[in-house]
Amino acid sequence: MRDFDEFYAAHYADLAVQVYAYFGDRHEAQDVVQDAFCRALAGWARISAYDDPHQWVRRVAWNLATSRWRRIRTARAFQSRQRGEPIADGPGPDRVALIDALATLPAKHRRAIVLHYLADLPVAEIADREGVPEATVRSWLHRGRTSLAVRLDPTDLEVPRA
Amino acid sequence: MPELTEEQTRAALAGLRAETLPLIQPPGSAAAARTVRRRRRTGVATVALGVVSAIAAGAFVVQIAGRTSQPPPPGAATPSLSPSPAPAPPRLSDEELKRLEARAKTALGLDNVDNRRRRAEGKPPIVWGTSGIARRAGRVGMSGGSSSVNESGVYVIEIVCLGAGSLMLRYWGGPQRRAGRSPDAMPPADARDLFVPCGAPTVMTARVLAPQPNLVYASEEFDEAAVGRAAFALLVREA
Repeated sequence: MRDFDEFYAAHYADLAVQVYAYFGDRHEAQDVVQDAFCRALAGWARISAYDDPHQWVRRVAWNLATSRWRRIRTARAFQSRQRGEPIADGPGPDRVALIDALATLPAKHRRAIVLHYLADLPVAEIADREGVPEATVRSWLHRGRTSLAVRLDPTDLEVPRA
Repeated sequence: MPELTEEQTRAALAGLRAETLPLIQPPGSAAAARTVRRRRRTGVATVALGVVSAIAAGAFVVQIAGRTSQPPPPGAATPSLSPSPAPAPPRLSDEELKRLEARAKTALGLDNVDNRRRRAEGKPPIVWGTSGIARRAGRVGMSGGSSSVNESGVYVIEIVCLGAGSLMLRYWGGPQRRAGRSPDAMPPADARDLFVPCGAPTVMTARVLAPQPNLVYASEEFDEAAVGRAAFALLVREA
């Protein structure tokens, strides 16, 4: 049986960053990811036997995030949540601009961008997750990158040289 | 129209990750264990409270009945009613649960399936569907089916759960089960789980591969919060 403590330590932070990029609210993201790990622990005897328990937790975390996002967005605007985050306790201005830009994308485009470019999920897996053809995901990624380019200055983005 | 390149997008998100990781403070696996223990205790306490309430109610009825037929003996202490504990969230009546189930079926279009019309409208045909009420926690059933004309073997499951709590859908494609074989032995190791919250009327979807002669199987597991408070509907259609 895989050890839950090690599993948690290995995956919690990365998953929290991914959900944060989707949510735009780090505290909500951490709550959601913690809840997903609680559910994993409750069924750990079964889930630890899976080939990839991380995939299960990620799926649950994203489902929880999607559900909670729908509720939250009707209650308060994303921008006002961003203003509520103390700058000293958050990412730098460039990253806040990125979070702001991501927040303007439709939820499906944003999920695709985060899952593909941050979680390194292949297009086929995202398509499977979303229940759409791969071409649709590629279209979301293209439209997402186009929308981001409008809000971020591509010349300011550093690309590491190989 | 300009767009970020793949490299720029990846670099921007990598930067976000690098800046955010130090700010993430995991509550810890011990906190997760405490939460799980508390949730289990709450579940047990809710059931125990129900039993205690039922016994108390029964005793009260007996007491009332006793009073009408036989006065208390002289000198006996007058029974006092202690304040009742806070009630658990109310369960819905059977009629309300059936209405929820009907709404769930309507949300998926299962109340009036017409595959000829769906095909004419360019929609994939529905292969099979099911619905149910959360009457108890745990795994409640298993259904399977497939289409003999779906050559790709790709299916989409749509599920909606209405009410409270959540359910975990387990789904997979597999061979037809043999008569007499235990359903519990059926889910293969690669069966997938889909977490379905019941609080919002959201249709959730999942894709599953079941090439002929395999069938698409699905089973549902409700949590304690859903029991007596939720109903679901599920369909399997061609992709």
